[in-house]
Amino acid sequence: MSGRTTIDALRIHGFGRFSDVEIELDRGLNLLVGPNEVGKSTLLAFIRAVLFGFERRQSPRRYEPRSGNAFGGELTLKTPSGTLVVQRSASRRRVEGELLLRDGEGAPVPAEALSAALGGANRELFNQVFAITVDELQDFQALASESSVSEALFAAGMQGAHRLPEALSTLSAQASAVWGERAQKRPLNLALLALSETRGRLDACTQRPEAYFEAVTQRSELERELEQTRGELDGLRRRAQHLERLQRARGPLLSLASLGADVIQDDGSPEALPRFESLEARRFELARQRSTLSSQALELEAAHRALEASSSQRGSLAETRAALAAWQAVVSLSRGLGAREVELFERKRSLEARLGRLLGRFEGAEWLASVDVGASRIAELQALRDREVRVSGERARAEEAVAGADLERERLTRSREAAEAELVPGAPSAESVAAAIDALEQFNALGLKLEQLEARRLAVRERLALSAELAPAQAAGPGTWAPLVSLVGLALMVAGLVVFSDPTVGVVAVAGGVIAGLAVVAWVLKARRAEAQAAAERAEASSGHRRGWGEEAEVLGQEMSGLTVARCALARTAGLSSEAAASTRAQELARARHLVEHQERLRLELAQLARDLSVVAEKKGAAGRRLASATAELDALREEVDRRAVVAGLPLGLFAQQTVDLMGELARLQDEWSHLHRDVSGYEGDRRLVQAAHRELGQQAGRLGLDTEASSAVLAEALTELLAHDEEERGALSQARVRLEEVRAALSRLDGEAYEVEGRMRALLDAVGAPDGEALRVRAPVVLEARSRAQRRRELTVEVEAAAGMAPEEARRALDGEGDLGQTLQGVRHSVAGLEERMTGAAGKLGQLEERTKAMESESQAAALRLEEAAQLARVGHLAREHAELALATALLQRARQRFEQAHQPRIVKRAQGFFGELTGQRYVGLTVDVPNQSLQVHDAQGAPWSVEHLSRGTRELLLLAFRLSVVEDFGESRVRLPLVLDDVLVDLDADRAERLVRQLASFSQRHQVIALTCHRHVRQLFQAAEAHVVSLQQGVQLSLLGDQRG
Amino acid sequence: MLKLLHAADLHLDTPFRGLRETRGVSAEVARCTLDAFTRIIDLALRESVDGVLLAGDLFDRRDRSLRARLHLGQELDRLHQAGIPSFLVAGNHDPLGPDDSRLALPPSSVTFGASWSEVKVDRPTGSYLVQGVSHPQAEVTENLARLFHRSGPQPSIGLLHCNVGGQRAHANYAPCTVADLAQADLDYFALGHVHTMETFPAGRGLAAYPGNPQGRHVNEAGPRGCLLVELDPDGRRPPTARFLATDVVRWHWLKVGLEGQESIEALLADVMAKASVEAGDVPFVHTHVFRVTLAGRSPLHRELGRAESRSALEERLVEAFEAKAWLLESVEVASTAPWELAEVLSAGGLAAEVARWLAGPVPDAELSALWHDAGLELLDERLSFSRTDGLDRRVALEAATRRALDLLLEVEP
Repeated sequence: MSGRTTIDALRIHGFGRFSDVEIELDRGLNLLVGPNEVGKSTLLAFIRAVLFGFERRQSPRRYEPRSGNAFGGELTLKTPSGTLVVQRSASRRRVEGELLLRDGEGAPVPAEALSAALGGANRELFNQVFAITVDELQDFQALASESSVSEALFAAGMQGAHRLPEALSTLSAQASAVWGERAQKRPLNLALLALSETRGRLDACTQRPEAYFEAVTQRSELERELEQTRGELDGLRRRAQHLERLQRARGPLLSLASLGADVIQDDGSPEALPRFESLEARRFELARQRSTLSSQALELEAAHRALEASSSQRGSLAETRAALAAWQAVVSLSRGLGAREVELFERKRSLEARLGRLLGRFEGAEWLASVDVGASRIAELQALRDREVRVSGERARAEEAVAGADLERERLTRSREAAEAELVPGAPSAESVAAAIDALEQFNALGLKLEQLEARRLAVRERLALSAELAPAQAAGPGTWAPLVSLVGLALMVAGLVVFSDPTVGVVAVAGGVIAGLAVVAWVLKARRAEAQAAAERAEASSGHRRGWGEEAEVLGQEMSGLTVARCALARTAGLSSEAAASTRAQELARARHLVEHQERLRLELAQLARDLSVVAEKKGAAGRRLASATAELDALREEVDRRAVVAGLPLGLFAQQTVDLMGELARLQDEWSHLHRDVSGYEGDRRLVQAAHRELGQQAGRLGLDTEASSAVLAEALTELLAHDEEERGALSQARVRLEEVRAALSRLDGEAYEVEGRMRALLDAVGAPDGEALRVRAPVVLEARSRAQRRRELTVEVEAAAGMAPEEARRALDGEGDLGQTLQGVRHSVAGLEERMTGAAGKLGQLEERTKAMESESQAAALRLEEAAQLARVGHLAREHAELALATALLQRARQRFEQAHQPRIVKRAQGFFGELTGQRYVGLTVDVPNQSLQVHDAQGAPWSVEHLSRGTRELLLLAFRLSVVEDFGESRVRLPLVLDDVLVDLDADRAERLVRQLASFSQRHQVIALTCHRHVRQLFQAAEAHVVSLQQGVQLSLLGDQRG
Repeated sequence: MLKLLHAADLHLDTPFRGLRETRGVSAEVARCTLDAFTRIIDLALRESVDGVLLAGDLFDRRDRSLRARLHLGQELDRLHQAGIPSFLVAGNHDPLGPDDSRLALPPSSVTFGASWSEVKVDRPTGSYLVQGVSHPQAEVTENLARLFHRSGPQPSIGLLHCNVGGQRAHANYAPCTVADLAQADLDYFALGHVHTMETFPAGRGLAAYPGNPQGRHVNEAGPRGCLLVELDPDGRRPPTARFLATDVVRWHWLKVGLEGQESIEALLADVMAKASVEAGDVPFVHTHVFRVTLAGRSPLHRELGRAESRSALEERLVEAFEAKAWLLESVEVASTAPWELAEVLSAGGLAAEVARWLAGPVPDAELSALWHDAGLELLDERLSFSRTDGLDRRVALEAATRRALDLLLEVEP
């Protein structure tokens, strides 16, 4: 018999809704009672958590308290090797929390002790068998309802198999999701199907070497056959062609034969006849032309004679033409004469008017010719004008200088008056003021020195007095600070106590204060020792010093009295009445010095002004002289100008510039006058020319018998007309002469040609051998007819040669040799058609074969299909492996279960059977297990078998409980007897069964601690009846108060 | 010196394995095996080699890819144009077939038949002999290496597709030993079949697997390529083989520890940083494919334990990889739950009973019984019917046990 482990107490620091709770448990049967939601499941989770660690942080079953209480708690276990306190507390690093193990005396214990106390049971086993929650039981029910209940029950009875049903169902589902022997839509089935389809397509694929080689063989055979047929066909075609040509030649041959030979000689009369007739017509035409020309010549000769007579009557008209030309030359000139005369008169009048304005008197235009306005005269006047300009400028500048000097003199005079007004009479002298300032400064310096000496004398006296006092007293020093230091130390300590109210820190502060006080006292003692030593040294030196200082004070007193006497003398010099007025006197003296300096500056200024005034007076005099000289020179210039004006007949009293301008204007007028004069002479010449032309015109008109009294224009027109008529007649005469010559020449040409035509006609008749034209006309058609027949024969010969490819004679012989040509040709044509048909068929087939082989050579479908096949093979392999692994995993799990069951089940089943019989009041007395089939059967008292699926829910729960009790006991026998925690297991049981179960648990609790949880009053009564240790968990009550409420 | 380029296991125009999604697989990536072969031919032309040796599994006959066959012909034709001969043997994936002659390879390309034969090649740099034998069918159990033997003083090369030393990762076709190769007394054995580059002495000569020139799944991570072999025509110097990378898409298996990873963000950043280092800056490699395995204990375990978290992480990684034009094969979470096996065993109970399957070796009979219990024999049959790879029972058992324990011992949320 192995040892036993029980939970003696639970101490919860903080877990879910519990905080600072302590529950003591009995080693036997315990019942924890509380209404729903009071936290029974939390207690169960607490036991699990302390033993095996907290759940992960996000889990709802972690139960980390929301309040600040420390997460965790402890269990006090009674184990075979003594008391073991298992403490689990929160840890930042570990999700499962920190585990602390101690023995009954509080000494630490290694971690292995817990595993030993639990007999090596792991979390899974403990959760599943020893402490199952209501929730998990519900999961179990759900699982049981989904799959075989017995499978789930097996899992409940087997260690490490909590997930077995789920694992089996998962694996089996996954395996069959991949492949099914008779399935169609599963991936592996589909992949195999696709593979077989791809292979079918590959088999059907045209790109197979056999097919290709077959096609290539067929192709070459066909090519050979085609070649042979082509040869035959060519022969037959040639034969048919020969026959066809013969057939085509037969018609022309017959025509040729019918034409026969010809005997008429060709003398060329058909060609000679039209030429003869053409010459005949020409001869007739020439005769007609000759008669026409002859009559024309007669008419022309008569006209020529009439014209010659008229011309000689008029005589020469050359003078008339010259007179008319001269008139026409001046006719435009004569029209403008009047206007020109008026214009010249106007220009003259305008010139005289402008001259009058210039001179201020009337002068005829002719006067201008007498005036001398040459360039030399103008140049002289311009020189005078330049001088006038220069002298006028000089005079203006002299006037300006005089006015400027006047202004300057006025300004200087005003400045002198202002300075004289500022001068003050009776001001102190500069020397007396400087002496007083000097004395005052020295007086002040001596005062300062006196003060310094006084201070030194006082210092010496003080030192003397002090050295006399110091000699006996040296007691002051740090000794006087000691109470203060002590006080500071004390204050520090008190502050420490106040600041660190925490006792530990306070103690540290007090200690610090004490240490600081001790340090201060030590320093004070040391300082005092050093001071005493220094005082002794100082007393020795001080008596020597005091003697030196007495002598120094005396010397200082003497120096000071000397200085005071000198200072009094200085005060007098400075004009000081008392010591206190020194600063006032200094200010007065400063003002006096300023006044003196200002007066001095004014005097210097006045002297300078006097000098400036005399300089200005000198300048004015010089300017007045320059002005007088310039005025005199100007007057002289005016006179000179007037002299020259008199010579030129110009007005007097003008400036030189004005005279120059007047001369320029006169020169321009003179120029204009000469132009006018030239134009008047031109006008006179033109007038004379016109008059001469008019006279000549009148003379010519008279000679020709015209009215000489008419105007020149009328005469000119009549003469022009007369001349034009004469010109026309002369032209007509010369034309008539030329035409006559032409007609005569044409007549002689016609005669020559008529002769030539006659000769050619004769020659033609001679050549043909015809006596005359009529004979020729009869002969020509006969010759033409013979010629046409010869032409036809030649054409037929060519036709035969073209059709048969041989001469007519040869063709005729060949034709004679062929017998029935039509029939033979038809036979040959039939054979050709047959062969052609064969050729077309074979060529088509060959083309197809070539296409097929080419397509095979370039085809890539097979490669793509093979690639697809390889990919499908890979997929099939992958899926097959997947299915095999899943199916094999299912199989090996089942086999493992069998092996496990075979090893453990008989004992567990037998024990479970006992529990189950007792729990059901011996209604069910047997449990049989078919291990290979994993089937479980229950037998009732009559021996009838029941499959688990047919049991009621309550009975199934009892069966599950029986298995749990059995496993717990089995575990206990082989390892450690562990507590059993039950959560509301009696809910679905009737009163009898519940009572039996409680009895069973009471019995079980003698070997194993039993901790039951419930919220049902009747359950509590049943447990109380079985003398269970009952703990009430009241909602909202501090559970630490709970104690023993046994029965 | 005679220069020869040796490549094998081209597996032209075969797809990647393990990629469950074809999203992001560009046409360029899909034809990477073809491009890798083009690079081999480019190298041969650049190095002006005296011959190219192709040691079997040049394409997968089962795939019936015409593109592979045509590409092979086109590239060999480039060699022919440059006057470089090529030598081919058939392996277990491309055994000799009736249609071999129908795609006419260039005249300078020699394919060895099902019986041993030898050809002599004269080059300006010297003469050499190549002998080889092809697999007449996919499954050859005969020791073909024993057919090889020296027949002349010239440098002699053996071309063979075989499994030397019975390597388990590869089907044991044409099995032979190093001693068999040494017995043949050749200068160089150009081998094919094993996909990882390996060279080893064989008698006085050298034998080598060049590996495949383009990785196709996560177990073929890292650089892949061919070998540039140099042979002394006078046999005074031993043969040498230099590896040249030719892969255009590179695979990586990135293992990232979860220890100290505080958040998914940090984890993501760590994965990207490690992936960048892993990818480096390799010339000619167009892109990289990653499998990311997250392992170790971490506070992230619980989050990564959920399928939706894993797929969200995977989705974000796919996006981040896409931004770099990389591909993500898959993300595996191998993180360990916060439980210790020893503790679980000592605590007893059902969990200890389950943990026993992780603790020690599981007898085959027990594994079979579990397999039966799980109904997985049906799945085996179905997979077999679909011609897919079978399941590794022991791997599945360990994963299943861990899953079961995770579920049983899950800490309360």
